[in-house]
Amino acid sequence: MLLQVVGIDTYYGSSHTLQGLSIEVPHGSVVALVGRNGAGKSTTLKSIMGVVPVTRGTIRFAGEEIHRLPLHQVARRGIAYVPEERGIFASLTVDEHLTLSGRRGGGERRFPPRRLYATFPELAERRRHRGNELSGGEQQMLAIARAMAQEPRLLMLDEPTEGLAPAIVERIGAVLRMLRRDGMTMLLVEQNYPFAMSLAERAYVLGKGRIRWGGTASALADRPAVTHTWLGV
Amino acid sequence: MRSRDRWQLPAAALLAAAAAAVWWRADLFTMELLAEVAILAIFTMSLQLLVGVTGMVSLGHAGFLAAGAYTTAAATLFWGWPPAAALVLSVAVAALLAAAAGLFVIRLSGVFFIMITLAVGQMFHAFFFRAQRFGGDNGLAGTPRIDLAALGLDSGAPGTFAAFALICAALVYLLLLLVTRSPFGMMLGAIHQNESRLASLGCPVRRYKLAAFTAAGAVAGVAGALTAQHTGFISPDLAFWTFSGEALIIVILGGSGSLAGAAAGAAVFVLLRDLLSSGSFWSGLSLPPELASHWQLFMGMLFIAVVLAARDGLYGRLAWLIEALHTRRRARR
Repeated sequence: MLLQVVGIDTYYGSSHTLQGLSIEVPHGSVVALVGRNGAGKSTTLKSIMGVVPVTRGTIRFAGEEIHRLPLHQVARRGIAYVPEERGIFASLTVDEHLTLSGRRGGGERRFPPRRLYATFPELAERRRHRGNELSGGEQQMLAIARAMAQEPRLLMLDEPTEGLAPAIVERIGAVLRMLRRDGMTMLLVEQNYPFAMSLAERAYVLGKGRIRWGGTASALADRPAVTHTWLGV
Repeated sequence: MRSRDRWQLPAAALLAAAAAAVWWRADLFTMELLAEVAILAIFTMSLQLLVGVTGMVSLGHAGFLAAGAYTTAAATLFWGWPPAAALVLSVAVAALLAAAAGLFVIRLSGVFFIMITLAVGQMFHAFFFRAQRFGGDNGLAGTPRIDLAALGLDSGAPGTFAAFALICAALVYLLLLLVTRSPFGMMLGAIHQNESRLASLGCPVRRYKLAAFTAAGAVAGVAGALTAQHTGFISPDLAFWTFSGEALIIVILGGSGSLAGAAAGAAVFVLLRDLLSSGSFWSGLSLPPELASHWQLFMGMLFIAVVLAARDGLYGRLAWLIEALHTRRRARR
């Protein structure tokens, strides 16, 4: 098991956001976290990353407890995180974004800039443009490319299709399918239920900070009561 | 497009040319002002590295300037070191103290960072105020200037020392420009924009912040050493928080993020202070010359006007104006 989250509690002020949440992400699999707005999906990713502190429970990554590590150490263990707001630096160029996360470790790189630009030719054309000069779709592609440049063992994506045109959603989907074929382990938070199910092998349904259902993605399709109650579909 | 950034070097070159032109025709008093501007510019550029580049607003930066000044004074007066060696020692001591303080202060951000840097600066002030070895609240007098006799120059002459201070300011500008345009500077800029995002990419943000804090302290040490040499007298007031606050105002006035802006802000500040505190200036406007003693009030009003009219400072407004003219000219073609 690459990632094990066991009974974590997370608070935002006095709000008990995650309540004893447990999930598992096996090596080489794509796991989707689905749920309504405010269910705790994004908070789960932030808790794993260490952006928000976990008050109870443990998080193990490749057998090592990571929930007390500082943010940059979690990233250095091999977890890349694409946040919902993308986190593009306005003053840095596309090229510079890719060097920000691509400067550690020796050995052969899975995702050298050449491959990233081949994957996202839109970015290659705009490599000298700054973050604030890119469209929403280009920013999302850059956020994913930057995460790939980290050479992660686990890629966590928070709402990668949020607010994007259908053509861009299709492009993002194609890239994520390519990564899945490549054996990349992914944890995907997505409100776009069909998009999430088209990629994931396993799924967890979140509701009010707790896991309400967990199993294979195909099994979830056969549980209309679950999807209706917790996802509204 | 690099937009505003591309005017950095032309602005600095313009500033240097203006300083050289003033120096060429200056009288003795103006030479003293020029030296003061150059030293203050070194100090404000060092603060710019913290405030405008990295996003760390410090209210205790004058502490490191004072540490540099006292080190130069102590090394030359007590141990008989030549002023040039004392300058190097001042930089090392200021850097060391900044690194030691930085280990603690960089753990905080926002208003807490401002408060802890204020406390650090005041600790320097309290130490020098109480340290009788360093003259206590009376300060220390008699720090010699750098010996330029080997070049056939007398640093005691106001013109020579002003030129020396201006060259130091230019070198500091070029050094800091290299730093801000290096990959290290790129990281500092990213910290300013989104520290947590950079950390989640695996960047040891605290290490970068500590390096920036130390580098800024070292450059403030240069300003301190030159201050001691320029006036020959130093006092604990150099470490007082109001001096840090003044430097912060200059950085905002000049344009946050721009080294040339910080230097230009220093020049505007010294010249305005000189103008507004002169009785003959007010007499010339047919106003009572007593107003000169209230120069800080008028300076404050001017700063408020600048901040309201140009939130990105003098440099930002100038760059915006040139950009707008460029765009208009292109549109006409």
